Amino acid sequence: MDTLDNRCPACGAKIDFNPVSQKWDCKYCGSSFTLEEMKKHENASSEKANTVKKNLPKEEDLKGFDNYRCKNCGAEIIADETTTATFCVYCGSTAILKEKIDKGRAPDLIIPFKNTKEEAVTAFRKLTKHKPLMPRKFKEVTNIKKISGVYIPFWAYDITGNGKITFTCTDVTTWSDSKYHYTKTDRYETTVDAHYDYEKVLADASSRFKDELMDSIEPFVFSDLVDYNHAYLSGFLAEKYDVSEEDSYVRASDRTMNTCVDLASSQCKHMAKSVRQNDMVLEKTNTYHIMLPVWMVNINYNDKIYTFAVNGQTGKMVGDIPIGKKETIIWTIGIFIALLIVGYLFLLLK
Amino acid sequence: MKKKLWMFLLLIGLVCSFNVRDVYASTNTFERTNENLLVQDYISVNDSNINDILNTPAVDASEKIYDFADLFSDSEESKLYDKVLNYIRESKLDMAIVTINENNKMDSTAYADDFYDYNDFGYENSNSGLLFLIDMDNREIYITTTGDGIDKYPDSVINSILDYVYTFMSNEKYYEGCSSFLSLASSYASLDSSQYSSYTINSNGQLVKNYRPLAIVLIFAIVGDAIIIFIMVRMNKMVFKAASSRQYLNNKTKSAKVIKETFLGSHVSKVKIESDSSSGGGIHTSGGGVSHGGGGHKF
Repeated sequence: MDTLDNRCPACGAKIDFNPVSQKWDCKYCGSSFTLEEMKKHENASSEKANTVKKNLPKEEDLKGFDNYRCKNCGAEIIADETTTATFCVYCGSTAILKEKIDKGRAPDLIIPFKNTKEEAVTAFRKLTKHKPLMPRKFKEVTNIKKISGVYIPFWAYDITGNGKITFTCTDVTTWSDSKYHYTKTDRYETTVDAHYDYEKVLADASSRFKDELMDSIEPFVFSDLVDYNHAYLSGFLAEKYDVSEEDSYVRASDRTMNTCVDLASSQCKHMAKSVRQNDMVLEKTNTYHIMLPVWMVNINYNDKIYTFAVNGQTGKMVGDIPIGKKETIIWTIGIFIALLIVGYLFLLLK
Repeated sequence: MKKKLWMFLLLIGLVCSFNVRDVYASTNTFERTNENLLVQDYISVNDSNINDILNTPAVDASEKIYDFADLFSDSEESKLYDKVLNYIRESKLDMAIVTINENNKMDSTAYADDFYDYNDFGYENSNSGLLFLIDMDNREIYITTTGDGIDKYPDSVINSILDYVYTFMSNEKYYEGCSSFLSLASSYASLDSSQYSSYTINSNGQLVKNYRPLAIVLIFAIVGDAIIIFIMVRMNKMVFKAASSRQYLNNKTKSAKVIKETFLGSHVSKVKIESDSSSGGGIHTSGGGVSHGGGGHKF
């Protein structure tokens, strides 16, 4: 099957996308190319995404592990079902598995990487600072050099919420006279009619990455969204979506409904409110397939893999850091003693 | 004065040996006149307090129990007297117990202060001591402290004692009330003032070590520890399911308004305020120009 790599239009060496210059820079001859120039030299897909779908591979060809040939050295490239961009293990060339990307729905939009591998490593190192409960040994294994830039497929939905929500509201006022403390509780039933438009609510479309991890690296700034082009994948890994648009929508609509209820309840000028009846209807008006840049780090600690992700656009770093037993015990005892001393001194001063 | 004291002790011995119990039946008072006011030298006499002095009974300061209201039986008086002498010896403060049916002064404070100031009370050559007044006219018990007694019995201690003792008076158990006052006063006197806050009066009227502040410190440490460790654990967790789409909201097209609001009802509940009638007065200066501490409690 065909692979696609990106070659320098000037010298023919492999060329990667550079997040700093937002251009394709050739490390060999020093040339630099914009997307327009790359397109001109047929090194980028010039066709519009989702329009040309000729010579689609047969369904069974894409099952399991597939073999591709490296355009550079001819070696076999092995990629699993959902990998759409990878590297040749022999020569290191980018291999973009174009046919796979085109299968099903091709991406509409992409945010190209904005930060470099070095920045991502720095962000990761920072994450492990000021974490007193982190096991000391974990810090040693976090001295990583390997961090992979991955374009992860997301579904993005335009959602409109329309309808009425009825809340039960209460106000509590208290006052006192010389003999009694009084508490007055007023109850209201309040109906709010609301209309809310949400644009590109994200839900990740790859089952390989945990939904919560992908949720947590949000927000992405959509002003950086550009039309998708295969050329952006050069130098990075990429995934193919394997969660359908409909399945991901459940998560997007859940969080959106929460927000609708929150926003509507803020219209009720009362102290406490709870939903009594929700007639808000969510409507999906548009769906986009978006590739978003994420730096991924896997740390193997105590036979468990800890996955960390850096937002490839904003540099936001997330991941759960393990909690060391020894560290927790030491801190618990230390804080307990410190608080006892503080409390006792307070008692003496009184 | 010490001589007098010993003479009285001797007298008690004699009285006991003859088993005669009517020595304390009445309280002897002396007559004050303008010429002979019968007050100590350090009391400055002037127009504003001369009437108060004349209105204050002059008594023998060594009698210690002045039961004008006749609340104690003779044997009770004798027991109280013994206790008072013990108290004076142990705590190095003078002590007087006064009961009255009619208060000819402004209030219990004024009566207690005047009675102490215008008689020859005070441990040895000082004026240090305590006076415990049962004022049946105002239905109030009052403790006045003078000299070293002011430092020995701060307001908090006076209030603790009054809060325990007044219930006896409400139940007309005057002897028991005075008796527990004396034992509490001597218990406190045996402590260093820095220890007061760690002691409390139990239901039997005994001063016992109070572990509540220590227990509060312990609970504070456990709860605080749990909160801090919880925050530290949370610091290590950064992965959460997204629960909001707020950032994707188009603020230009949003609209929301309250279209209907129904008042369902109102409910008022009331809780009675617990009031405390104990009144620790702080340090004040009496009509005789003497500083007193103390406080009172209605019964």
